[in-house]
Amino acid sequence: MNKKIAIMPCNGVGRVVSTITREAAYKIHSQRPDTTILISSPDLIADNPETLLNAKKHPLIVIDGCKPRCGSNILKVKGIKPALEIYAPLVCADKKIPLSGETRSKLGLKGAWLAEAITEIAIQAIDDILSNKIPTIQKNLPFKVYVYNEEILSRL
Amino acid sequence: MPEKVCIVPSSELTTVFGKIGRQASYIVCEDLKPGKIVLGCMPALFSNVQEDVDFIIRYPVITLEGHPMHHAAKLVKKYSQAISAEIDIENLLKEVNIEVLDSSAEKLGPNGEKAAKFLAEYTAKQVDKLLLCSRPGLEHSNF
Repeated sequence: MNKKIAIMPCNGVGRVVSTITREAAYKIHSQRPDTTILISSPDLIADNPETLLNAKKHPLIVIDGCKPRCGSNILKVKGIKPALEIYAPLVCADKKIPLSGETRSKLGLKGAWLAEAITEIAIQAIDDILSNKIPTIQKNLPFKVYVYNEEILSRL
Repeated sequence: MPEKVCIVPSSELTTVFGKIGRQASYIVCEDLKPGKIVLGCMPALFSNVQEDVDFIIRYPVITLEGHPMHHAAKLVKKYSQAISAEIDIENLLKEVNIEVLDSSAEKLGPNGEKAAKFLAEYTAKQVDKLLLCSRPGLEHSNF
């Protein structure tokens, strides 16, 4: 199958939620290995040609970890419009997951729970996008969905 | 003398050396030198998040490079030329014969954990030197 969705977590190091978005990206890729590709934000920052190509070629889901929304910002600077922006704090609030006691170096149960919740949202969106359907998640959470954009649809 | 040192791991998502660098920076920050380290975040630096920009302007910087192109150092140099140490993780581990074939970008095996611990201890020694240095940023070591 040629259709793939690119997944880019914020991949920061300063906050617990960065570890969670990274963990979610790995989970997403492990559940949909043939239809997803991981994008490393440091590679994109550095204009790695292969990473740039993959980020532009496929519809991309970005998972932002905190308020500066660095993942989305990197894409904006590089001129790449994502298909979907998932904002981890919204998922955290919606699921009422407390993150106290979680550490950046090794996730505990609550961190893993949030990573799983983000994964479920992304997997549903991936399956929708690959079926040429607009992701339905915006009915529950105010994520930004751009997949109806013609340019993004043309990447499929 | 500087109060703290800023560590910027390149933190690649898809290479084992990115994972090792990230884990090592957490070990230095949380276990080996608590209170003496700030972590600089590449995506935040690129996005001009003021806190992270201040870190690399205010403190000596050590970059932990998980990619041969030294992405972290390149980004830091856009804000400050004073990188005190630029550590190429793959080269450093080769020098000390630590192989990490049991590890991946996602999960470290025992050798990967050992590599992260070694890198953390090596980095902590660099931190000690920098904390004693009266002119931070001028002692450059490029491993």
